[in-house]
Amino acid sequence: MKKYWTVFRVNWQNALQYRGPTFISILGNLLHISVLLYLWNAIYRSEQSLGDYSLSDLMTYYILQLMINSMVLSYISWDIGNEIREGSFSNYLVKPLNYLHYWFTINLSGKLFEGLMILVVGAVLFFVLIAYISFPSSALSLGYFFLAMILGGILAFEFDFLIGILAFWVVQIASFKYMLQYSMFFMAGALLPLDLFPKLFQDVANALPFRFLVFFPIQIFLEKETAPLQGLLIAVVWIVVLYFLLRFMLRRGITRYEAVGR
Amino acid sequence: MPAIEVKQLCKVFKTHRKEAGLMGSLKGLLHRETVYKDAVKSVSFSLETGELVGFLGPNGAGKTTLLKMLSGILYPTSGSISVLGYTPWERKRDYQRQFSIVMGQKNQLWWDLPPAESFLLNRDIYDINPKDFQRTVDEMVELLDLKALLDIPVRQLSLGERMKCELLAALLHQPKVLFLDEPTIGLDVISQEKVRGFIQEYNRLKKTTVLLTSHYMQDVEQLCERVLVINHGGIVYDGSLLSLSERYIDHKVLKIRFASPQSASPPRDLKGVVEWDIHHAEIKIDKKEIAAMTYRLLGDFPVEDLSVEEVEIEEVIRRIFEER
Repeated sequence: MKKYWTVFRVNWQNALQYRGPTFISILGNLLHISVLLYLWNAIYRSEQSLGDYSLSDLMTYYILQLMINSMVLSYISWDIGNEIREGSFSNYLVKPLNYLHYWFTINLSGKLFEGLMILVVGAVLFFVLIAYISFPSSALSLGYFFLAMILGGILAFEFDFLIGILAFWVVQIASFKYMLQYSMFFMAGALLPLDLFPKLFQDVANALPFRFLVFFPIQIFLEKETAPLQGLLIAVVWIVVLYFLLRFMLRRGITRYEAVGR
Repeated sequence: MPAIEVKQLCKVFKTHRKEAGLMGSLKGLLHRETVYKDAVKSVSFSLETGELVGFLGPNGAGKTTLLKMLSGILYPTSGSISVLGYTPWERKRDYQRQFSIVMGQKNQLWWDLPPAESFLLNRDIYDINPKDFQRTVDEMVELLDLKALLDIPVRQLSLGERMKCELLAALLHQPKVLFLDEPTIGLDVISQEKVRGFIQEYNRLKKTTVLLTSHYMQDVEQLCERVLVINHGGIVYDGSLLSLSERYIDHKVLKIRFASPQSASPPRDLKGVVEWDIHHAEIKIDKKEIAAMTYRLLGDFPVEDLSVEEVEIEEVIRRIFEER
């Protein structure tokens, strides 16, 4: 256990080296979100509401999305893919270290670091937009929301790890990765709330686990989710299923790597 | 019991042949021709505890593949390996705590952090107790002359400095067996010398079993009493370096630059001329005749520059291979 705590700490140090770029990427995200907010503002001038969303609901949606992007969504597949492709993955094979746990720790430490940075941006945004934000009426919803974020973070890690270890089978995962990541984030509701889409699309998105990354936690916050507990439970089931899938795939991948080497 | 025992080890890589160009890629989608490549062919050898043995061989001979199998990164197609009684590719934690591999072209240190951070990480990955850790670090820092570098981000270190830090990181858990894959590759002469000296000293002090690969004859000359020469996946020579060079290298290469242009063809009675033009000459000389030959050339020609060079290792290996 201690070794992973050290991994956590060392990665935190590493992240500190990159605080500038991290901050800039957060600002970039903020810009992206601001454009969307302006767009919705314009639309709401002629519409009273869209679907179930008031303007302040949508504002809240995107502000939370900004936070979730930093604290929940995982962006490790690039590094994992490179490690496998370039062969530095071998460094892990010869050490008493579990690759999955290692990357889970790296991801966690990175997300907490980014979380801290987003607090700064968030605080500013919060005071500017406080009039527009729809807060949950009960502490319970808030509690569910944070729980959903944690589960979403674990799921996001699992998905991105899976994308990363595709490098065992596909030599160059770059294009693959973007396609998978974008469709995943789209199906998660990172671009638009899922319930603004046609019914059929919603049914599909509901059946898939990706909504737990973005849409589901925000729905809880907005208190639009009718069965939060049931949702949380389903998320846990997905986490467990993916965990076993991941371990299986990693083992298969390593067998392949051992056969070929890099 | 030997520290390392390899028996009848074979490794066959399966790859697909791809024709060049877009059409080739498209064809590849429909039908792929499978190609089998014997990277290691029925290799057997053993190492006693504390031995320092060098693997010699040209690129693609199978040296790295062998080291990878010894450290459990690759599993063999057939045959067996026992290192300290373990089968490497089972990757038992107990085994991993007792060996180390350093690959000259792959670094394990964190690029943006000072090496000290990577050392701490290894301390906890290997469960080294802080006292032992500190003692080892102090000792090695002394041996490797690293004191001033521990707090500088790795990306700002020179290749030689980085290699020394890589070595230190790999030795923190005091491995009983050490694999070094071209530890001096790309280093300048002074750094090579230092790394070499360190490996020698470390092996002497700790009685660590060391197996190293290198392209550089000097590495092997200085470090290893015993060498394994490998080519095309098989061991073609296993024995002392001394008898290797006696058996296969009977000459050196003499290079001359003339002070003024000479005749375009060498004197008839001069043997072993490899190259000759009006400005330069390159002559293969029997080791026993170096003094006499040099004397003669200095007398007969206006020599501006003269050097006597060792035959390169690639050539030694080529000769060995030609003989078979």
